[in-house]
Amino acid sequence: MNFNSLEYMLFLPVTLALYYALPGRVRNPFLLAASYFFYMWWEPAYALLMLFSTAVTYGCALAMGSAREGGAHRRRAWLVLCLAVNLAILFFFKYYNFLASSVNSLLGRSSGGLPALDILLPVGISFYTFQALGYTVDVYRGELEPERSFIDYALFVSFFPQLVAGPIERAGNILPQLKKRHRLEIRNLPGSVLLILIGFCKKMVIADNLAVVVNGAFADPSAYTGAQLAFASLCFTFQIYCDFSAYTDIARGSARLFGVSVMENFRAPFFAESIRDFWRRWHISLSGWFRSYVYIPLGGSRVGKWRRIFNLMVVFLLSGLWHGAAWTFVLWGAVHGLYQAVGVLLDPVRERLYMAVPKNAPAVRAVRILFTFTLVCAAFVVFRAESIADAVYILKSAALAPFTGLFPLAFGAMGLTRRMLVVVALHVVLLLTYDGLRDKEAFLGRVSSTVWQKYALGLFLIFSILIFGSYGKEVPRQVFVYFQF
Amino acid sequence: MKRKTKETVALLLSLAILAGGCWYISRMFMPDRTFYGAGWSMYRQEKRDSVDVMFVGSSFVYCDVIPGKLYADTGRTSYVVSAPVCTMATSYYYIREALRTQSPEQIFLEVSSMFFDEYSQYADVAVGYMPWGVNRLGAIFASAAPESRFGLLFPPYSYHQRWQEMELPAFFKRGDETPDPWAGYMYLKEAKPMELAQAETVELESISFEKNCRYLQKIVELCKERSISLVCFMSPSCRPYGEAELELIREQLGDAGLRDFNEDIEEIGLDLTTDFYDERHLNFSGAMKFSAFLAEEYGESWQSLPRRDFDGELWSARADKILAPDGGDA
Repeated sequence: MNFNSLEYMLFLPVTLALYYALPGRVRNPFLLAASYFFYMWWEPAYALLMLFSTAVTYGCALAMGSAREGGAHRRRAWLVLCLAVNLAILFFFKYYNFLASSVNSLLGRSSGGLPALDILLPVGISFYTFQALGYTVDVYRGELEPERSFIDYALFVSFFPQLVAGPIERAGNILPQLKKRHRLEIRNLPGSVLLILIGFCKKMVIADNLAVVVNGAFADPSAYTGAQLAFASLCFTFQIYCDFSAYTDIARGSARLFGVSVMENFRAPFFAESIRDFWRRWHISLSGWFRSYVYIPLGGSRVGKWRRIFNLMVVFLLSGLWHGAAWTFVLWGAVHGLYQAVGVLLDPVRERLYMAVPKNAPAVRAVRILFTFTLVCAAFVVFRAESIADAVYILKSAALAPFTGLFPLAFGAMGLTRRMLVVVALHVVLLLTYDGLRDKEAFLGRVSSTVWQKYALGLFLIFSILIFGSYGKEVPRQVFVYFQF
Repeated sequence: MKRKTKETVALLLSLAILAGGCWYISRMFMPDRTFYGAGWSMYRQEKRDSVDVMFVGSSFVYCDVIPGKLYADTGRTSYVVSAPVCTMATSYYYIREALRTQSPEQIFLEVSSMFFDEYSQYADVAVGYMPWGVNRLGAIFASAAPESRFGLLFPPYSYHQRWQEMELPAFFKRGDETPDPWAGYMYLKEAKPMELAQAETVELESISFEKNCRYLQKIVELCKERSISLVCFMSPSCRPYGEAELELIREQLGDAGLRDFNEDIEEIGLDLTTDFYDERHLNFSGAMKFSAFLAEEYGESWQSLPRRDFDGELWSARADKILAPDGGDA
């Protein structure tokens, strides 16, 4: 089920009402059933896959718990089994066809090579698999007791607000919350509803409208000028941010209604002053997952310069591959790995530079933010392009735009009317202002506790969505970009 | 003010603003409807209880019947309440809605819609312009395909993007609609030479004939209940329905009978080379002849109907309009 669907508008309040109407002990089984219903709305058969993955990680974690006295070997065996089964499922459904086509093209075989399979990528498989694997590793390390209740554990894996596109939660954060008996706190409702509305506004007003510009330009880059391609690249950067962070906002708002606090996944990423800083603000749950379960076990930053660069490259290549089974995603990961590697190599130069120029001077910060943003934008071109050749063409054309003619920009010919472009730009400014707040949570808390402010903000968001939102009979519904991962 | 009271007031006020806002968006962003039927906003400007006779149906009615001509020939007022591809279910709800402000003595129902599909592809227009109320809701669920219903229940879904193309004054549209100078008729000037085609046969399995029969019966009952004389008819066409199809309708109508004007194409004086807009619709010249024929056939019986208080000036203008049709809104 999509968040931006009528079905979800009905599903959420009905599930919420029933959840609080039921006695405490049946709430989690009910929420589990509701989460599976939510998932099965898309493709019922794949719920079995999630159930299987859940059962395997649950069983392996219990086995690791009971093997604690039996020695490290048995525990490790259970861990390896769990990782192998889950990664095999992920590989088969997500990467097999990619591997087959890559091998076949490498061997120059158009037929007779590895066969392509007609399989549909299960929605959210990367998210729930990583969440379950994180739990297993935590149990293996002894950081977490294995969960005894299958219902609670299955609910942790499948909790519908964050099931399909994250955030990738830690069992240590979610399981204790799921075990609590929650009471419906009316005073908490406005904050949750406002968060959901902010999510819908980002998705429907900004992301989905920008998608019109982006889809056209990236589908056929040769039909556009360099300036238009640069504009489309900028649009995509905002589109993907608004799309993905919108999902997180709706997920967090929805989860809060059930008394569960889900982690923040974005912290004003476009105000990052370096690529390292960007990754502390962008898709925080995935970055955290890779840091805990890949980067640190590889030695993290407490190793030599070149080993650190190797570790970073491994993490970012895996992160690229996690996003999708295509060379563009791998390259996107590699680009970010390279950014970081160059960052590590230039650390001494930067240190010297900041001795001369104060790092926190507003002008210096502005330049750093702008430079980081440009690098991020360029990398996202690789992420979005249909092929590496397209990405190179777009980047080249965009870079040469100042020499090939910035004007006329003819943005109007990119699928959006001038009026819509102005409206979207105004919303982006508002979003950046909101992002620039030091503490968004505190802001929402303040607004929610003031009667007139919360209703005014709510009405503003609703009318923005109703009037400027991309929805309706003749508008193709845009699914969330991260659904494909 | 105590916080609880403040909360309640703010909530109620917000709901009112939300409802008002949605109403405003629906009203402002929906395109005006002045041509090709479904002109409900103009219909509602008609003086209450001033219409003697009503014509109901699909485009075969709004292209073929000119109330101004009927008035000129008989002195009786009539109105065409119709919409493109108006299904029998929509016709039923149209009649119910029309009877809220008018009380005609006679209703002429064009019954080609007995052979229409269950859902109209023009439901957005046919139902979308109906005034809000139970009749609109009934029409939505009876004649709009499930995927179209949400847009009809919540018009911003269909029209909210129009703000991008609207001129500034359109955002401040006031309720200043005027009565339809054609009283529901759609002026079509162009003539296309036609030939009489073979009678059309219908595969009943491919349409929802049973449902259409059910709604026809509902119309018959409604007219009986309101003491309205009902005349079911087939308008003249170059591709009429076959005898077997007409027989099916006659079976449904029983004593009420069916008036098939295709039997009278020569008597009406229709010239296939000059009086048709297309195979099934008359142009202005054809509609004038057909309306004159109707006036001749029914005019005498209409004289016995009680006199109504109608807007004489408006009806004189409508009668004049047929003399200079291009000079008006056409």
